[in-house]
Amino acid sequence: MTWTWFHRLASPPHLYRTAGRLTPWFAWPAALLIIAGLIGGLWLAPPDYQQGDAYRIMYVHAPSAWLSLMVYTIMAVAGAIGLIWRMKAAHALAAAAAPIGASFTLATLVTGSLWGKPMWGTYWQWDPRLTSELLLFFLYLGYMGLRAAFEDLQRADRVSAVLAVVGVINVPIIHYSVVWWNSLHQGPSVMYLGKPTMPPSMLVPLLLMFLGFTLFFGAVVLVRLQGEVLNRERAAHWVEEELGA
Amino acid sequence: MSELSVVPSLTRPERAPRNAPGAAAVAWMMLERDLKLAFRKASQLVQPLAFFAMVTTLFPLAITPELTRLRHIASGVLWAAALLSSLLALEFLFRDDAQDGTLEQYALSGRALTGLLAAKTAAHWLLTGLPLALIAPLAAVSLGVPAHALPGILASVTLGTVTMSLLGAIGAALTLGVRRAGALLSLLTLPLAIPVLIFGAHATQLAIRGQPYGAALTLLGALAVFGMTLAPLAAAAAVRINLE
Amino acid sequence: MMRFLDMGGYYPWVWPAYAVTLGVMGLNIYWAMRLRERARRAALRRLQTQEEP
Repeated sequence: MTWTWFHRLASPPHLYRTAGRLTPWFAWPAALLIIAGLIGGLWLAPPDYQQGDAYRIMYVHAPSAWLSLMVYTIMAVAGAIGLIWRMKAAHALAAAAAPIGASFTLATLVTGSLWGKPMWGTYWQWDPRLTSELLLFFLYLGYMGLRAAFEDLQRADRVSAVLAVVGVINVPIIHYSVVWWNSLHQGPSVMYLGKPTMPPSMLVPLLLMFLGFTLFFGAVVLVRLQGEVLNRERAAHWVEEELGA
Repeated sequence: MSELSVVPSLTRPERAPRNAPGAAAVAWMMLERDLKLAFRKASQLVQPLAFFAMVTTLFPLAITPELTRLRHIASGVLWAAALLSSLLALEFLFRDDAQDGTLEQYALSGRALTGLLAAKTAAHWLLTGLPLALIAPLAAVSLGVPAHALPGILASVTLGTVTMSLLGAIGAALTLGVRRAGALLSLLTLPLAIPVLIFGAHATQLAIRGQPYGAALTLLGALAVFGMTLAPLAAAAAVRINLE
Repeated sequence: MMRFLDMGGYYPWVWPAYAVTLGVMGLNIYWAMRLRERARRAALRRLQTQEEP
């Protein structure tokens, strides 16, 4: 197993070019999958026998929730790699990912409460999943706030990486404590996800959306990564070459 | 990978000389020093307690003076107030030592920074957490909590404030290089403190109802032990980064 | 078509949910492009100020 690809990714010019080259390979499949998922989820899938058409919110809610957790994990892993190997590229990736994760966490909260209104009769219910998501949103806000508090990018990178690692260790503890808390006060939540009996006509659009959202994140994070790499680069030769100055 | 050994931020620098006092002795000296310094500024010790008492007073005034109704919300009031008051003194946990260069000396002393920060955190808990736990039963009585619940409240707040001090140490270390860190520090620390709030308020609730609360206390204790093993490491990593 | 838009009576919640999510996606694309564009301009400025003096 050679590690050269890993080392080459750590070099800013190579990373910048690779990110630029890869972006369309994420963006176009993402667009196609999301369009297919929208058609399948909104039009082709039958209404649910219990929730009617309201369950269709799931097709945007569940993939957003998936992104919110996946991105936080990526941030923490990238931060840890950046700390251990002193790798600027990994820190740039964490910086690029954070706002995307935060925005999808917010989308999860909004779509969750829009789904809650017809199902629970109220926009907000202290449901364990929504509550954990809200706390995750606060974790994102803290992470981005800490980043923004430092003028020096290098220091912001490394300090926020420590926070992300601490945060990711805490996310499961927070989640299980919230689930435990909820089980003391009320019954299980109304929303269903991944019900084993979901027919393929409902399941396939959901899977398309999961994949589409993940690729969408890939495309956006690559564009941001290019920006973050440039911001961490102080007038190297390759920047001149790349930007044709 | 050879790069693995190059971890300057996490490894300790040179070893201490052989005849120097041991790590435990140094940590003890550190603890004594912090306690002495704190008692010179007694007002800083009293203020979080006064804040805690003030917050618990707000609720009867805002909601109702009826003790039977206050009893129902007492656990929530006590824990929210305890969490907020334990945030108050955090900003200065490491700041004075960072500004006069003491912290840098520690980092270069050849001692594991982890142990020294753990000692400072212990001092912080003795100065803010423990007093808070001691007056929590008093505040509870004022909220109509029956006397049989007071040992449970004392025990749960004692354990909960240990974890709060440890989480606070991480937050204070992270924001060491930030000028006005107050609000940011709260935003960083409070979400991490949610499990403490949940288990602590639950233990208190059970104690008030006269039900066994041992299981909830065990969970609080587990959080504290988990925090003790990891928080000083994270705080030391953050302090080193901020001192660079 | 009307039946599709009506969403079995759930239109006041289904459509806003989709609008919010697609809006977030649009904003993400816009913010990402803006970040990269600004970084490029800042890098060019740095290069020019380095060469001239």
